[in-house]
Amino acid sequence: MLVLGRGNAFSQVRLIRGASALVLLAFALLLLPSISGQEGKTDEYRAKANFLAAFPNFMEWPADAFPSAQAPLLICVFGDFSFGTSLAETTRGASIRGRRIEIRWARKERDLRACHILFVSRSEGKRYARIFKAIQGASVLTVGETPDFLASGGAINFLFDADKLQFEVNMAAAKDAHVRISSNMLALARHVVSRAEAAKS
Amino acid sequence: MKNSEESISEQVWNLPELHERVENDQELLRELVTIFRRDFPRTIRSLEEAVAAGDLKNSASLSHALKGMLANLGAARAAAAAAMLEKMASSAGEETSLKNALNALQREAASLLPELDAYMKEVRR
Repeated sequence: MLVLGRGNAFSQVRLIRGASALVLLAFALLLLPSISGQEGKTDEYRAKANFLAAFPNFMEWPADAFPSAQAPLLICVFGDFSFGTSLAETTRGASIRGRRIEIRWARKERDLRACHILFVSRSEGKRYARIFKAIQGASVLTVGETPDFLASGGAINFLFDADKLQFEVNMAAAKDAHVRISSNMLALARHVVSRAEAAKS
Repeated sequence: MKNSEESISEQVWNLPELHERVENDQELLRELVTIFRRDFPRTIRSLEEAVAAGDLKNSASLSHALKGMLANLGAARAAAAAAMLEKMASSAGEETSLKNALNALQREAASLLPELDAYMKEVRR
């Protein structure tokens, strides 16, 4: 795995705790990226990076999801790493509940079980079954960006609604990963779907 | 969107559906209702002000937000009313139509909120 973002310096994300994190997440919802052209892509990546950086504030992993008390929280990107720069920049020096955040570019399926948040790029849309099999039973919260991601077993999916980047949540997938998502985050979700609804979508 | 007959047949609040969505996490459900009860009054107040001012853009945006909040809570009838208001505001509907749609949403909210409060009272016992 390629480590892209780490360090101890202060950053904007270091400050996003509690209510501030909620403000950041709500702010991310207000971004209106134009999704056409290169500039639009940059805005989309930045918005997704902001979301991914804020998500850990609203999630709890079981203690055994970390190899040690000091182990970092790993946000992995699998597939096309188009917005990796934005994500690494956004989370540089960030820490959540005493754990440093590291951004990793996961290149092999065997790397995925170590991740705490796994962003699956749309470039991997045909490999969902293999990816979910690779992380089965592990505390890996998956985030995707295609309409069939939740139906395939994903926990959170990015979508555009009224030109705004939003997210939808499949609580069953989060529960299966033993990750608790806070009500404050769910309240900001565009959709919260049940296991049955996710399967039908 | 569902037609009016289907909307009327829907429950005001589908608690079993919400239970299913949150994987029967009672604590999470209580928190979601609490957040909704905190956020809903100010959002609908802003919507009422936007409709009164003839501000179609804000009316559409706020009713869209309410639609999502209500749908996530399992309040399909109120969500349908918010969706109708959003549709009218987005298509530059007449002032009277907008106000009627807002009234419909307010009526649904008036049915929903006591159910939520009764639930919260029950689970706090």
